[in-house]
Amino acid sequence: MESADLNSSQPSDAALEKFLSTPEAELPDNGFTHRVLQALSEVKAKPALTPTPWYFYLRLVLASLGTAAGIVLSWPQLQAVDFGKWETQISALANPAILVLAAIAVLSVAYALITADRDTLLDL
Amino acid sequence: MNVADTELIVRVIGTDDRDAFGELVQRHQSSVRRFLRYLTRGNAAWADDLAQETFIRAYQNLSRFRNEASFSTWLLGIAHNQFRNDRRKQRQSQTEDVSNELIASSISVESEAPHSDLKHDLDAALRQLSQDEQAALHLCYRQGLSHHEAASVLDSPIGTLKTHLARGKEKLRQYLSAWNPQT
Repeated sequence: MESADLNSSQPSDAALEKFLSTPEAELPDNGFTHRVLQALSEVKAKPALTPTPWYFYLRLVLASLGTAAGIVLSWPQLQAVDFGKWETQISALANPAILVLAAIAVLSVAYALITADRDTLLDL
Repeated sequence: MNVADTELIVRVIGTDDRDAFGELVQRHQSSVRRFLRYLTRGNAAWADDLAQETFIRAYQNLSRFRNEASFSTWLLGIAHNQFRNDRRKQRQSQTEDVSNELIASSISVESEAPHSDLKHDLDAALRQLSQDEQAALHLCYRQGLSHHEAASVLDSPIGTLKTHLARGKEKLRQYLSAWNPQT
């Protein structure tokens, strides 16, 4: 089925638009779906929704307990620390060059993560 | 009964329902295969291999589908990526010459009987455009995607997509102005 425009001997912009917008016929399946499903039977599916393993929670509990024990045990020593000294050391970090370097480092890590995410999503 | 894509996707993710995935393949095979035929310049066998790989990848990564774009746009993005990776591999193994010969000998995008009218000549002219121009025109006009969707499928900025569209149309327009049905 073709339009009169497309068969005329005076082509125009309208004819071009019409040609470009002409919907194409659906491609018949011709066993394509069957071939895909057959190929899939040989492919091991990635677990869709991986449940969080029990040892993840165990690690979390152990890490929390360890941190709490560390704080409790070192509490007397922590109270003796002179935090005033740290202020001068931390203020050195306000150097613009260090801030720029830190910003570059953070942006690099962020870029790497975003790129990795995109790769895993589309570079499947 | 026409079940929505999202419902089928949920079934595949939840219970590994292969029939539901088969339904998704059946629904979208035409648009994915047509797009890949354009990218491969009409090499139907190559396009179908890539389409099959596209659906397998989609199946394996279905749980990452975020429903931000339509399922068909997501599939076309994977298809485009599959094509790019495959072409890169071909270039690396220096089989480009062989595949070009193959492509030239098997161009049959839509199996229409040859006829010397404008449509036939425009089809031929369309195949002369660069891959990017052809893909942009195909996605925006034939598949009816928005500029934003087409840009996301091609993984290019929207400005670049618009440039490809404008250049492609300009080339076709020039072809039209010089069109002579006798030649």
